[in-house]
Amino acid sequence: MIRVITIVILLAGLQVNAQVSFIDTTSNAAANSAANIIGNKSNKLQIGSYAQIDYNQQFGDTISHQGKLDVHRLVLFFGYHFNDRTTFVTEIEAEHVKEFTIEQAFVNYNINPAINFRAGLLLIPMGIVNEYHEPTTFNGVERPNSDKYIIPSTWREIGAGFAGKLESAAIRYQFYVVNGFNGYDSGGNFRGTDGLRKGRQKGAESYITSPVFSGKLDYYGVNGLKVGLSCYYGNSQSKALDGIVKSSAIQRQTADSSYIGITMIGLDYRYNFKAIKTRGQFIYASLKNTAQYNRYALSDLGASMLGYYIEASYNIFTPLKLKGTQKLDAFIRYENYNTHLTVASDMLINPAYDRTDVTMGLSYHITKGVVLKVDYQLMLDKSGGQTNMINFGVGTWF
Amino acid sequence: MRAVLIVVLLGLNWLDSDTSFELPSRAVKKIDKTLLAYFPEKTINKKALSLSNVQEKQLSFKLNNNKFYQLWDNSELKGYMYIANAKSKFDTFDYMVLFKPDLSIMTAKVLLYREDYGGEITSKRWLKQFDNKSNGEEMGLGNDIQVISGATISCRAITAGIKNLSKNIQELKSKGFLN
Repeated sequence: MIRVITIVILLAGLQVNAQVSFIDTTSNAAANSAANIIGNKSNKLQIGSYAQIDYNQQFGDTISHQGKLDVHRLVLFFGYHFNDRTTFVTEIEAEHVKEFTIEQAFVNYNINPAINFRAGLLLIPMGIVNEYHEPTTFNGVERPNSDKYIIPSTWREIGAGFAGKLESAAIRYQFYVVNGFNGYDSGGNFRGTDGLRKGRQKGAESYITSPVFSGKLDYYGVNGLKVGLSCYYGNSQSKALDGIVKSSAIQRQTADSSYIGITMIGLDYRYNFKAIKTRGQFIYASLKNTAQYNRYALSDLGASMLGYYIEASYNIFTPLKLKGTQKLDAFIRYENYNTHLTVASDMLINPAYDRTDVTMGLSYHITKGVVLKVDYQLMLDKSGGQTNMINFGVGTWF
Repeated sequence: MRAVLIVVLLGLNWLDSDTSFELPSRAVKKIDKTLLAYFPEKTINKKALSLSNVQEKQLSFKLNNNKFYQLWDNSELKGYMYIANAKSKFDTFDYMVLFKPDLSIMTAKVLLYREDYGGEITSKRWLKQFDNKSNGEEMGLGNDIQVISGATISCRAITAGIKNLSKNIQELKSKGFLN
């Protein structure tokens, strides 16, 4: 049933798009410019989609590996415009074909050009890819791994807050109070290998014991450059805190070991100049109370984590002076992510969690919104592990 | 199941029939403010360009009278103004382009940006990149006009839009319809 409805929605989406899009105007000048000037349908519903279809193949060592072919993500997004100030935004995602999730669902109320109030299921603004994750916007078949192991993208929680821009200072801001991670329910969800990732609640019957703060500032005052500063601060949630007697110091003390304090700071930049694009990010997370947490939850979570990458790409078609909208970006990215940057004094650092990836490849944008990708990844860790991957991918966004 | 389909189709019909256009008062205020800033101490009369049916048929695009104006200060032509709408990520936005009498761009302004995503394109510094350009030339996104990371859709939409407006006004001129 769900599948059938989805297909209907998809088909409807294509039709709606065909009927109301008067927007993208470069190619068919006559029809589109007409539409552009008419430009007067008060189209209340915007429909879009992005998809990422991957083939990942490990190779180059002494044992054989099967490849993986996956419709990694297929997302439909809808923006419904109630009036000039009020929009409802939602992204519905099918991950690996069989998992249905909601990536975003919030009401945005535009108070004035500088201030929007929004409430609902929000993306946590941290780094680059968590907010801008459409496959045509990043190089490489897979998202950078620090956006998986340090920033658990796609990271979203229910909350409310303000977003907007200070035009004179060229700053975009976002400040939200949101729900935190589920750090402990029937057992511990945080662990050394992927940090906080298993604790995401994603708005699915999530529970709260204390809210967290999430914010980001982006500076866009120099053309081609964007610099972001993100912060996430608060405690993880714990089901062990539910039902304890408020006056019982012993119960409270025991339950106090079931959550951690999280401070995550991120710095990112993106810079485009003609054929050259470069971006990078630096994410540091300090985790408090991990010694108690690890004992209580029988886990191996680190006391701090660090991830950073720097990437550069060059559009090979630019010097060839090819006409049209095609782009062929050759890129290289160096990335390090370490979920055991430091650990509590009673445990040892696991060197396998200090990982370095070098990714290089091509993104061939055959038209705006469609990209074919290929890349090679060399993945090393400090315990001597090495993995070679070759990835192929198709990405779309409209 | 059939019911779902019918509901969806009804929805489409309704969308298609809804072609009325009204510029919100916030956007109108911004137009007035911009005109005042660019033509201080002038009384600017906005006069919609009206073409005969025969003239309209000669155009490669459809001219909407509500969107294109000549700007007069008494009997002196001061320029032209186009009002347009384009798509941002989850919504649409309204913008205006002022052209000098020689049809080069005087300024482009976003009148009303309704969502938060991509709002960076309302930046004066960014829109300045279009100033003094004409006939849709030197408006290649990525080469002549820098893309703002995280605002790709809006950058693309407004760049394509301004490029077309700029070409269209040139066409009106070359066919002798501007006088």
